[in-house]
Amino acid sequence: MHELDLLHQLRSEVPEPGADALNAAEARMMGTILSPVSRTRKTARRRPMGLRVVFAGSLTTAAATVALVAQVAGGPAQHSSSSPGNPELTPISAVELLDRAAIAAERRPELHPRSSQFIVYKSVTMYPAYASDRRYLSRTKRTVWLSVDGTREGALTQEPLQPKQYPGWPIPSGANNGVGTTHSAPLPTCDRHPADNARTDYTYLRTLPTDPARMLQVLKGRQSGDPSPEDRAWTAAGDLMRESYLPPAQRAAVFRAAKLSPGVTVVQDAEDAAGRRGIAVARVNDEQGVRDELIFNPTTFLYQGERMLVLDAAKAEAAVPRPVGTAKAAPDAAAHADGPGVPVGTPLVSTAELSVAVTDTAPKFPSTGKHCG
Amino acid sequence: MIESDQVADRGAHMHWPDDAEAIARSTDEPEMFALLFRRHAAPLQRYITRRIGPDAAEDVLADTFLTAFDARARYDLTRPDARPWLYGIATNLVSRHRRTEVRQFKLYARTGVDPAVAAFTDHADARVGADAVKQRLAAALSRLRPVFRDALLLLAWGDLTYEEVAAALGVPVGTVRSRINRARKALRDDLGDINPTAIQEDFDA
Repeated sequence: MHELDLLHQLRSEVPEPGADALNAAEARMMGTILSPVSRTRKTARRRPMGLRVVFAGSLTTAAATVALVAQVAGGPAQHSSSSPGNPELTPISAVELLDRAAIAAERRPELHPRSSQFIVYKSVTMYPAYASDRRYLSRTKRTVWLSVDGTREGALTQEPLQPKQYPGWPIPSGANNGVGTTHSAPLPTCDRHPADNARTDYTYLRTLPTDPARMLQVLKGRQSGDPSPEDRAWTAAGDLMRESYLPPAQRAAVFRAAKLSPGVTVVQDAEDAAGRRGIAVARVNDEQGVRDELIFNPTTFLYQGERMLVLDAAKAEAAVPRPVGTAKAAPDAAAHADGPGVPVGTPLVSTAELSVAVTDTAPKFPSTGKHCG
Repeated sequence: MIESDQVADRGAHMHWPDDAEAIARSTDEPEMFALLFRRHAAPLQRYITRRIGPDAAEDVLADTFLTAFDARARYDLTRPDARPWLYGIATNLVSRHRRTEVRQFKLYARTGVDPAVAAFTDHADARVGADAVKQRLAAALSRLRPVFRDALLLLAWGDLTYEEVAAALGVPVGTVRSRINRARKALRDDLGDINPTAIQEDFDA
């Protein structure tokens, strides 16, 4: 036999590695490449069995909380691949994650919208729907046309999606009535002139500071229902991501400002409203008893959505809106409902950014009778 | 052509850059390096595993890409395919495991159980696969001079051409031709007494 043919046969049983192993190896490599902290670690050592845990050599910030994050490239489909082994765990701190998110944001091309144009923002949202006798999680695909300078009438199209169950409550029969339909309406400007700290139009947002410390001051001064400035800043960071377009420099500044917030942690495997897995930075809002998360793509570190889950059932229940006529009758918040209260640890709110683009015009829809005011 | 370039500038979704472009862009966008990994990691890990077994292969694969990332500024951007570069780096790293490599070839030659493939076959199969000719071949590989073995196995297991092997090892293609011919002759000599027809093969590749 020809010695080269023989050589081709020798060890030909060796297979190429599987998708799970490659995804884990890629995530580990990119983690090492992109992280200045773990760069000196060079290579993760192999462990024989079970969870493979690699610790960062040193952390530059004492306050940084290290979480072990399973970085799985790609979307949910990756989770169903053949090998059942545990994913590789790569450590990443909230500071590192926000740094990478800032760098990723800066590398996005600036859209440069003109003031006469519109930002078209597509998203999926999930919010709880409450009535005295029913609760469910309402899901919607939204397309919104936002006037770049805030002076022109925009538009909103909503497509209800299959609702999800609110833990402990059956999905009410009427909850999926609208699935498959589309509702569109104009977004009138109403000649309103909101205060700067409530504005979300691009013309204003592009004037925000790009310095993280100054951005943090802006965020603390934004309008929201939170009494604590730290809570306000975190809420504002989410508000500025959602259905608005921040230029890359300002977006990066928001992420770097978030690094300066106390108590920021990393949450592995957060799922956005579109069902995409991601890595999140999270902060507990003690006042409301909830944890608010900003979710990033685990490979590109681009912002992809947000999520809120309840940590303190009593506080969260107190915040549940009371249907008309029941508020006064239910002084004890936890006892008012006809079913279980707010579930701890279950995401109740989530959003997913699908796309952001610029267009010259917004579609004209007939008014649904909603008036300014 | 110009049109597709403009699309790439704006979106990068419509057009997949070749290896050289990905490496060039990774200077400013390190994420682009993931593209090289996705393209080449699977066959590269198989090549490394065939040479030194699965235990060290994972680490060598990771070191290959990290070494490549650190050296990416020196990549010859006129070469659109990075395989020779990556296989050259991997082969250099494999040489740190030369004792493991030689020990495994010798173990297979002596026992008929190949430590490099044992993890991929169940125990019953490992002995069934024993093959006197392959054991002789393993023994012959263990005796080859390392530079001959590198050139030969880049050709046979790395699926590189002579020119690509030359680029991988940083030597002229004539040197590669000579090394591979001498390696093949050495193998034929070692296999010769059980496979005499092989001696009749000429040296041309």
